[in-house]
This record gives sequence, C-alpha cells and structure tokens, in this order.
Amino acid sequence: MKRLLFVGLASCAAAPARPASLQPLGDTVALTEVTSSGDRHPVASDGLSEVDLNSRIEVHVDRDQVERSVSSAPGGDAAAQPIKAKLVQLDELTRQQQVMVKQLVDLKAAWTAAGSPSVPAEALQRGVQQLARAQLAFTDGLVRYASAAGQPAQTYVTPQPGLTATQSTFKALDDERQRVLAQAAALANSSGLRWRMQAELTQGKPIHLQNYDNYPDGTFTVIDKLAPQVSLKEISAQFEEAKQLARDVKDLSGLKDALVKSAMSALQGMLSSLQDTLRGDLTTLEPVVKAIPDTALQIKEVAAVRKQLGDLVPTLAAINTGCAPVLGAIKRGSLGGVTVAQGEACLHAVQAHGAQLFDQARSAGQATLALFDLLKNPGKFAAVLQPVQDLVPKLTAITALQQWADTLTKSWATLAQFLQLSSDAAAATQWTSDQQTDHLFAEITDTTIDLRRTDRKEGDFVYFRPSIVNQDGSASVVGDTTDLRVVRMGAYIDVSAGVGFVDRKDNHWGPFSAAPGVLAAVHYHSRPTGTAARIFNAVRPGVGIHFLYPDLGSKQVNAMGMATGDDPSFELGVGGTVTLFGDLLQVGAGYDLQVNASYWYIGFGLDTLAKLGVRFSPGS
Amino acid sequence: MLILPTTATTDGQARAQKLLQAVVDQRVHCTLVVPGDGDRPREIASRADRRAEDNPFRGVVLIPDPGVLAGNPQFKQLLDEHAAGAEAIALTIRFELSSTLAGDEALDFLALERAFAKAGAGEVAK
Repeated sequence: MKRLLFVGLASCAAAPARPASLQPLGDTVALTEVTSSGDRHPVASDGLSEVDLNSRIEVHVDRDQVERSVSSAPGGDAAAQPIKAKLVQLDELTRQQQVMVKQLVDLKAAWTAAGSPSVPAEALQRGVQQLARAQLAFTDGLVRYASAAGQPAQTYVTPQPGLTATQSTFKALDDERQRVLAQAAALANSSGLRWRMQAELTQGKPIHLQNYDNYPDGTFTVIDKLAPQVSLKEISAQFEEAKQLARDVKDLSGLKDALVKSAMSALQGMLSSLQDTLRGDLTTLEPVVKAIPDTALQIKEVAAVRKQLGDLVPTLAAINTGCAPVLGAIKRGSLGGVTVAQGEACLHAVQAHGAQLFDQARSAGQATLALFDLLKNPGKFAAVLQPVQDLVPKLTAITALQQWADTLTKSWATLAQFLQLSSDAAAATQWTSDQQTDHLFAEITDTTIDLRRTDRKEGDFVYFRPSIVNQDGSASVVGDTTDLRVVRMGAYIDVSAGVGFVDRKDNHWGPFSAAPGVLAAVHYHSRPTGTAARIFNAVRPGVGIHFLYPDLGSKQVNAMGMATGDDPSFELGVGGTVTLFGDLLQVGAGYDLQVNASYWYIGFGLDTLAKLGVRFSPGS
Repeated sequence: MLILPTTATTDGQARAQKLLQAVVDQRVHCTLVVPGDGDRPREIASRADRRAEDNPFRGVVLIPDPGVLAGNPQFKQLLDEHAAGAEAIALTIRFELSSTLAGDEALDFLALERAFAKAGAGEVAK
C-alpha cells in the first residue's frame, strides 16, 4: 500500500510545476499538427513553422491559463489583483510541495536501498533534516496563505477520508486553486470579456474554426503530392515564356536587374511627364494648400479645391519620396546611375500610389476649373477671392496635372499591370469581427484548423491568433500570431518549363544554344527538425526527366555548294536532370532523337521564379 | 504507531523500555510521544499518526502507562514533561526534546504538523 502511495506521490512530484510568472496569452494555446497518416507534431509557438498541406492543426486551449491571463492582463481592475496574488501563492505552494514529495521519495528510496538501517548514513540523516525544514517552511506558507485568504489553516493539513496527509494537502490546494480560478472566470465573465480565435490563409481568406466563427467550411480535398501542382495552363504559359527567353536571353546574370530596369524604362516616361507637368518639382503644390486663406473657405469652390489638394499633395509627396533618386536621374537625362534597390523602391511607391494619383489629379483638376470659372465672375466674393486670384499661376499646375492624367490613363492601366510585383507578401492580414463567435471563458473549447478544407496551395501562409475581446468586440488582449507555412512534406513531383543551354557532346566546350523544355522532377521535403533537414529543404534537390527542343542539327554544304545534310525543323531531346533550389538550377544530359546526338545542358526553370514573382513577359 | 506495553503485563516495563530504547538508538525518524491512557491520549496519538502515515521519517509512540518509564534516567525528561502537563512530546531523531503540546493544540493537525516538522529539522527546546 505504501509502495502504491509513493508511486502516486512520485507521479505528482514529476508533474511539471506551473511557472510562477504569468504571461498574457503566452501559454494559453498549444497547436499540434496531425498529418494524414496520424502522426502528431507539436507546432512551435514562436517563429515560422512548416505544416503539410494535407494536415489538420489541433488547437488546444488551456482554460486555466486563459483565466490566469485575464487576471494578469494589463489594466485589469482592482478586483483581479487579489485573485492574481492568490494564484501566484498557490503556484508557489504547489511547487514547494512537489519538491518536498520528490525529496521524500528519493530519501525513502535511498534508505530502502541501503537495507533500511536504523542508523543510516550521515548524509541521509542530513537529507531528512533538510526535508523537515522544507516541510516547516511549507507549513508556514500555508498558514500565511490561509490567513490572507481568511481561511482556517487547518483546512490544508487536516487529512481527508481515504487520503493520506500529503494527498489531502495536495487536494486541498487543488480545490482552492479551482475555487480561485472560478472566481477569476466569474470576474472575467461579469466584465464582458470573451475568448476569440481566428485563423486566416494567405491573402486574407478566413479559415473556418469550429465553434469560433460562422465562416463557411470549405470542401474536403486531399492533395495528391505526387501529382504536379502546376496546371497545364500554367505549364503552357511557362513554356511560351521559356521559348521567348530561349530566343532572347543569352546570359543568366542580372535577371533581377534586367527586370527592374525594364520596369523603370516603362516608368520613365510617366515620371518624366509628371515632373514636366509640375515644373520639375512634385512638391510644388504644397505651398498652395497653405496659401489658401481660411476666410475664402466659406466659398464652396475654394473649399473643394482646398480639399482635393489636401488629398493630392500627400500622394505626390509619397511618390516624390519613394522615387527621389529616379526623379533626380530623369532630370539628369539618364537612369544609368539608379541602383536596383532604388528602382525597386520607386516601383513600389508608384504601384502603391499611382492609381490614387490619377484619380486625385482628375478630381483636383475639375475643382480647379470650377474655381477658375468663379474667379472670372467673382461678384460679391471679389474681395474675399482676391488672395486666391494671386494663386492662379500656381493653380494652373493642377489643371496641367489633370490633362496629364487624362492623357496617361490608358497607358497607366497597362503600366500598373506590368508593375504588379508580388504584392501578396506585403498584404496586411485583416480579420473581420462580425463573423466571429466569441466565447465566455467557461465555454472555451478546443478547435481545429483543417487545411484539407481550405483552398491552400504550397507556399501559402496560415496565420492563427487567439485574443481576449471586450463585449463590444474590441480587443482587450491580443495574443501573438502563429505563422505557419504550407508545404508538401515527403516526396512530391513538380513539372515546370524552363530554358536549357545545350552543348553537344562532341569533345568541344560549347557553343551553348538556348532551348526551351519541360522538366518533371521528384523532390523530397523533410520535416525541419534539425539544421541538416533545414539546409536540405532550402536546397530542394530533385531528380527527373526532361524534354528539350534543342537545335543541334545543321545544314551541311559541300565544296560545290550542294546541301548534303538537313537541319531538322523539329528536334526532341530526352534525358535525365538533377536540380537544385526546386527547378531553378538544372543540369542534365540527354539524346536528340532527330539528330542522333548526345548533349548535356545547364539551365533554369521558370516555376520557382514565377513563385518568387519574377515574370519574363507581361501576362504570362 | 508504536504502543508500549503497560506494567500490568508480564515483563511489561522491561519490554516497554527495550522498545523505547530502540527508538532512542535509531537515527531514522523523529518521534511524537503521547503519554497517558484513555480516549484523549489515543485520539492525540491517532491524529499524530495520520500526519506521519506517508512519511517513513516520522514516528508515533503511545505510552498508555507512563510508569513503565520509571527507573531509567534517559526517560526521566519524558516523565517530567508529562507531569508538567504535556500531552504530546516531540523528539528529534537524536531523542532530544523539541517541543510539547497540550490542550487544544495537542489535537490540532496544524500544531501536530509543526511539531513534527520542527523535530525533524532538529530544533531543540531551550
């Protein structure tokens, strides 16, 4: 019986002690990935974790911890503070008792192992003495807690029926904790606080969480990882792109530079004409806004111009800031000195504010024209409008800007499409609160993020966030967002188009001719449990087969000028390929079926580049 | 809990002193001695035993007939404390007097727990 008791106590002692410090929402939620084969993997609460696209994520909420978080939340009212203090003391007492039980078990084991002598070794005697001192301190702690709580201390040391003294104290402490947590819950519920959990896929698509929102559940789909993720249409588009590149691209270096520079060239005309319209200074309208006298704002035409300018000036300032080096280079007549980073910054600024600029320029222009009509016949407002009359030369810049906007509207639409650089990543996560069903703390349940019911694809991100909200839905305590990246764990196949630089195996190095082709490769994504696995995943090696359109044939002409051999109009090369970084870097060897010649090639694929937002032709 | 024989039994005193001598000689547990006969001493000893039951380093000795201790100088202090009104006497593992309890305290689980803990920690009464 005593042996059983000690096993029981030992298990109590082995239980991890609750941390004494309370972090708002820190340990309230635990996420576990459950794969399609049933394996369970805890999801780290910090950093970016990877999950398989056929997994579900179980969300376990520690209700006790939530209630602790409420009582320790910043700004908690005075009523919460005593509860928090009690919980801290109870935590400490429980921790002390667990330490004591472990000591007791260890001493008992040592004594038994020594043959239960009536005079044990000095060390064991000292250990027993230390244990007793800890028991004394613990008892004093119980007395202090009970005294502060207005309870008889005997509650914690009186053995209960069927339990030993130590078990009784454990139980009494646990009962007290439950009572205090119930107080915390009651306090939280009476304050109107609610528990909320939200999950979202990349691009702001909400994921339905059972019991926590009214978003519709998606259709259940398991993705076959051995089936290519790229659609035929996408492969076809990539292949067209590859054909174009095979014709045009001679060198792999400077792809990004080339892309940015080509975008800058397209943008140069717009920025140049904008600068010309505003007489070389995008901030020229700022003083006009300040110069409009308040007394004239009673006239609606003046007020309209003032308002429209108030909108337009910050937009121009944003473009001016983002594009300062580019605008300077345009003034000097050459974009040669603009770095890729400066060019990118300008592209982003124009992309972000271009559409706004066109709309605002038109609205401001119309308002200014209406004002000009009034200034021609000011009537009774002549005196009030006199200061505005003086601004007319400067206001003409607005009408010029309107004309500029009217002229460039169509080309802007094309340009904007061209400038659409992977803005997904920059998109801010937004949740809507109207479809959330928040819970009282007493009603908190666990839930699941089922990726199989989402429109996910590899590379998407899933964001999950718990929070405590007020009755009106406003946030009281917002937890950290857990970021998950959706990947294909294990073996998978990718098919993509690319460009190979083919060299015939003829014992001569080169020449390399560019050839479009299609590659099917097997890859493997390891669960990132260690550095080696993470490096392997980053390198993403693959092995597969390729189909190329090499151009190894040639028309042979003899000394008499007679054609003796033909250059086949169609050549198909088939062979093996190894890849690195997905399909990005490829090396392979194959056989040209029409020319009957072996070749090897080095090349790059377009799928990884496309996922990175790099396109080589608009609309592909 | 160890209950010592009384003088009413054959060789009761000798056996009682021998049993208590073993307690003196051991260095494993501190001891709470409850002298006296009747319901109250039995209840005190029983309560003390509840506080000691899952701890092998605590022991309880009930002496229904304190007269069995007579004649042995080692046990004189126990008899003196009992005569002075002590209903429970806590002793360290070296059989040194740590504290005594009487009245309501002697039946109080908290007081019994503190007496055990102090004796276990080696606190000796001044």
